[in-house]
Amino acid sequence: MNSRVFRHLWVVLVCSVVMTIVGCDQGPAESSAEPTSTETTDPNPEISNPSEQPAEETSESTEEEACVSTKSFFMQRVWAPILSNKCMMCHNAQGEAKATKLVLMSPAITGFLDMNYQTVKDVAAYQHNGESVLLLKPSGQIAHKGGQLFDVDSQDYADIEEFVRQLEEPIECEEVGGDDGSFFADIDMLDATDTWRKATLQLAGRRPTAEEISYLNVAGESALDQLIDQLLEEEGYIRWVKETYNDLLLTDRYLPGTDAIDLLSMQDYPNARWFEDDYMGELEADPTLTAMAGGGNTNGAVAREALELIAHVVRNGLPFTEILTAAYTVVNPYSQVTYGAVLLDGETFKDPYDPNDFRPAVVPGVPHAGLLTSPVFLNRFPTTDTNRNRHRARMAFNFFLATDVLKLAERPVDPTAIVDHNPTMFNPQCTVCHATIDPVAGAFQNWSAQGRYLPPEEGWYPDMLPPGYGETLIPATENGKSLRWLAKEMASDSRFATAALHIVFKGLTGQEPAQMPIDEDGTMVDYDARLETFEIQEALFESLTSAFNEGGKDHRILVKGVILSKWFRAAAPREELTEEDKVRLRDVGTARLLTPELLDRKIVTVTGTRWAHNNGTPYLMNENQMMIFFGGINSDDITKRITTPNGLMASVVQRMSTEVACMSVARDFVRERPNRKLFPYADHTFMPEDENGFAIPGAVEAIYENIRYLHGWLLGEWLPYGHVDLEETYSLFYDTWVEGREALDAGVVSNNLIGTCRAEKDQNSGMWLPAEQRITADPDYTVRAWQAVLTYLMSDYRFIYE
Amino acid sequence: MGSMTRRDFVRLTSAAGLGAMIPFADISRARAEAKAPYEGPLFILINAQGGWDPTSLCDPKGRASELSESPVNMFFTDDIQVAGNIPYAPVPGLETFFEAYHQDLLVINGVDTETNGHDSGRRNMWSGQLAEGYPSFGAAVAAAHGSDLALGFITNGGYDNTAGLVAPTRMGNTDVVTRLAYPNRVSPAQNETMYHLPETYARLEKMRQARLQKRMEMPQLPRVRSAMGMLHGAHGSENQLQKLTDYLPDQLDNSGNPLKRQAEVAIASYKAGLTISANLTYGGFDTHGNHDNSHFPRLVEMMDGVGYIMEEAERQGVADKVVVVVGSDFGRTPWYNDGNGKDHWSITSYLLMGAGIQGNRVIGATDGGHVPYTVNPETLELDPNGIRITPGHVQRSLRKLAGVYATEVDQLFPLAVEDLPFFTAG
Repeated sequence: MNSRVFRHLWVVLVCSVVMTIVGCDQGPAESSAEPTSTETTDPNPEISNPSEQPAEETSESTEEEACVSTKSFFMQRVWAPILSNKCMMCHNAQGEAKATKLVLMSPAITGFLDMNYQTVKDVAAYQHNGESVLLLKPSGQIAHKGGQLFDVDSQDYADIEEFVRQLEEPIECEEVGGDDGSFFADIDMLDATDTWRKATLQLAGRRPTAEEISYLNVAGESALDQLIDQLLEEEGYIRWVKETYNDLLLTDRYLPGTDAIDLLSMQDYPNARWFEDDYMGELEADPTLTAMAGGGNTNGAVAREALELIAHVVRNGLPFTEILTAAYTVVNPYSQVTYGAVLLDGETFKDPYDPNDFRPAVVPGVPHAGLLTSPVFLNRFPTTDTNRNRHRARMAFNFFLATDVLKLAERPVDPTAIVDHNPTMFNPQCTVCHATIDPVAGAFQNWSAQGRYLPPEEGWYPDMLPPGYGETLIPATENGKSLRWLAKEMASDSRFATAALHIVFKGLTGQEPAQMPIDEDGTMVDYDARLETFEIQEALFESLTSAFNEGGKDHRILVKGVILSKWFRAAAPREELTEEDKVRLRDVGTARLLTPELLDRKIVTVTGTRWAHNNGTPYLMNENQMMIFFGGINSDDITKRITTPNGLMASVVQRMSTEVACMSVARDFVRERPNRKLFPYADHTFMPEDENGFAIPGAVEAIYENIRYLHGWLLGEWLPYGHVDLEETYSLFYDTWVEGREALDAGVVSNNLIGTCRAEKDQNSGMWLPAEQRITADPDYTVRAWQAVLTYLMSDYRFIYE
Repeated sequence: MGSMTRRDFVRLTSAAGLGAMIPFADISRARAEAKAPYEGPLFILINAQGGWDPTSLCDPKGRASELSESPVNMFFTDDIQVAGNIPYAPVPGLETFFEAYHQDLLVINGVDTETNGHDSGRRNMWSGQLAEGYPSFGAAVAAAHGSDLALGFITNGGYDNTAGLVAPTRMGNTDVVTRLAYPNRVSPAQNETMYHLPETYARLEKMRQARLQKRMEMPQLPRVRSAMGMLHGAHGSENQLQKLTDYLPDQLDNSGNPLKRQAEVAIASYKAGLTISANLTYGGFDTHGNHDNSHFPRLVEMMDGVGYIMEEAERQGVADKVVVVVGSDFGRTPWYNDGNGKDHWSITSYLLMGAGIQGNRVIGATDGGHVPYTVNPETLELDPNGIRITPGHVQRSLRKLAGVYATEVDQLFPLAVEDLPFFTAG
């Protein structure tokens, strides 16, 4: 019997003793989340997701004939093979059949399926001699300018015939959260505890508390439901919302120096630089306020105005549409002076010097329309005399209507064949985009390239479609407040909810929402899989957006819905997938590499120490350090995150795990044990063996228990005693300790710890610790053995992925 | 395919290792296959972000006189310059590049991107396909030859979709690379003080990999396994980064021309045996207003950067091992708008030079209104009965040049266009 196996058996046998010493199940946090006795008997438990957990659905339903709703039938058999391939080329808003009743929407338009379903349903109701024109025209039985597309014996005809028949009594299927049970049937889901752990880390940047875990263990899913509601009241969630939206708006570009204030016109805001030494104005501000106005307190408030408005809306549970429709902006005490803004009635700063206190306010003379009228938004997405706000309009469609207008033109176009006068108004190659984008561009008419409110003296360009939204023109009385009018239109568009949901979904899962596949030539080998994924996801999205619209458009409804969905909770298949299932399920599961921001927060929350330079520069948040290497953005010239790990990113993880282990082990040991994050069971004086090589009773068990705790604390895997992974980690500790002591004896290494690995100051106060409490040396090599363990665990897949 | 359903086809292609692997190529598998060191060229792919104006560069169109109405450009046709067989626009400063490199330069004009959209234009130009989903050329060539390399595909932007074939790498501050190359050293500059004993660190690395491998052998969702595979492949990169630090210049270019610095890193990494392809970008070409004043200086500076790349390759002794391809989202209208700017135009050009590319040639052409002529697909001579050159044609040829053609990558993402002999026709 080798020593490792001996230890293994021995540790299991003495566990009951350990419990009396350190309390096996009474760790400082999450201890109650440890596996039940059932888990300990699992010979190969897939961590944190025990396979014996009953499936939420059985696979029996897959053996029954699956219900296909009329809408699904339309999508699969009518839209995809017939309408999109044979009809759409003429029957679109710019096509030859644009004047008919059958005008189909492009898949680039979010919600196109619903709109097209309704259109086709309406057209199908028209009959000639008792037969639907939807059958008669394309089969050439009555006049059709597009000619005969198929004959009455074809499959296409039969499918349309069936669709028309179903319209008389549409089939609806019972669906649960977008899934009839079969799609996720063979996949284990995260249980309530693991879902909670994932949600708290991602949204709030913190670990679950022991109380929360206890509650979840008792009340399960219902507890999860309640806890999520509480989580969405925390400021961590607000921070996550701001980060998520900055990935789109990129306004953090203006955070450095006075970059945001530099955007402001001194003509409009003569007090923009009220706090600077060379300020020549007449304003006499509070001296304390003036003294504190630098260092980002003023510039940061202007730079983050759009994000803080979103935060205000979310924090207060206001309809999320107010991010566009708010007839106000938000200011802190410093930007209020810069703008000369007036707080809304009843609003006041709780602390007149708090830069984080943002309140709703109006800037005199500015017809606010949520973030659309913020100087940072208008400057981040600028315009020119010839662009005429089209860029701004395109971004508005992208961010708030889930529509990439340029995708409308992704079919091949040939502008070289254009000979029309003013083609953006009259040539279908151009109007395919411009008919959508130009009216919205016109709605930005009152805002200059620099983001100033300067209504055009001679009105908007007459050689463009007039300002409006779709077919609706802006009433003349609203011209001065055209963006506010536009905001209301966008807010009432069903795509607004979809756009908000898409952003939440990507923010939580790291995945783009599924797209309806388009297989024009029938060669897309994974078409069925893509279509199935799209259908399942679309059904979920429909239910969530409905709940959002019916629930006061509260952003939290979307976040909670995604967290509780199987897309967020899918963990692992129960068995190895077939090749076909690999295709079918390839978009399921969140293998999300943490962003630099999330990793930075995770390190702090689990170790109590930030990965930072001596001068305080946080490595993962600084673009001259690790932020860019780890796939981050600077909101300026690097605006797209890298989400798959490369060699450099893996090296960042290695460096991080090594340095953070060094920085945090001794510092944790100097805390009182109840306050420790990493070592609630062991002390640095605990060695596994005495001088004669005999195991030290109590110490070995404590070390082992602490290793078990670290697996749970850092990686979310609460392993049963004797699990091979615990054995291996224990061996790492033990072997490192042995070779370290040999190196000490040989004089190869010093007793003293490296400077950055020492604990000499209180982390909270920054004060020097009493000499007897400091840990500056490691004569037993236990601190460094623990550093090896921490390095190992913090470079694990489960640490850097969620 | 007869009566075979798509699902049947998926099953078959999956069994053959095709369909199911499209987005989830496991680079650790490639690593395990222990490929021979890559000895092919470095592909430097430069995108002029925003849509350049070929008529002001390599497909010059002037105006006959000051009386010409709605001219393509304000310069005169008679002023158009020629270097060897290559005409170029009389934009002051361009002569430096064209006079120095025309013997190496292949110009392909009259390329039809079939779009006016920035994203779709870049996608078509650098993947050969207008629709979404195809890998960029840089990713494809890195996947075909070096998916086990830590920095196989460096991207500084542009179209850099990898379709899951390789991990794209973005370089930050190169001063930090040394810290990453020696993660166990307290101070990267000296090797005396380590966080862990060398034997401990070696054990750590071995255990990390073993644990990940064990996890990968358990049932996993495809996305999770793919992520693990990517991480597995990325581990153990410090040895490669150590090599990179040996080749990085002590001082990177600080002239302000972003191409130079990006190229120095790419060439150093190639010399270290770590890189096969690099996306470089030079922005600011979306000149809807004040075109000439804004656009021309950028063209000159960009071409200065391209020349610098060739000089740097020469200095580093790899001049015969570098292929440079320059393209853009699309072209610009052959007329000025009311703001003296030029809007989007779907016709554009490629510039190519380097290993395997015969220079001093122009293929394809456009008329005075920058509308493309068709070419004979066999001779590439202008032919009214021929075909329009598209990015797909160029990308197909590049795949052949780079040895990607007929590999698994090529089969996964086939370019179903004619074979045009850009690099073989003399």
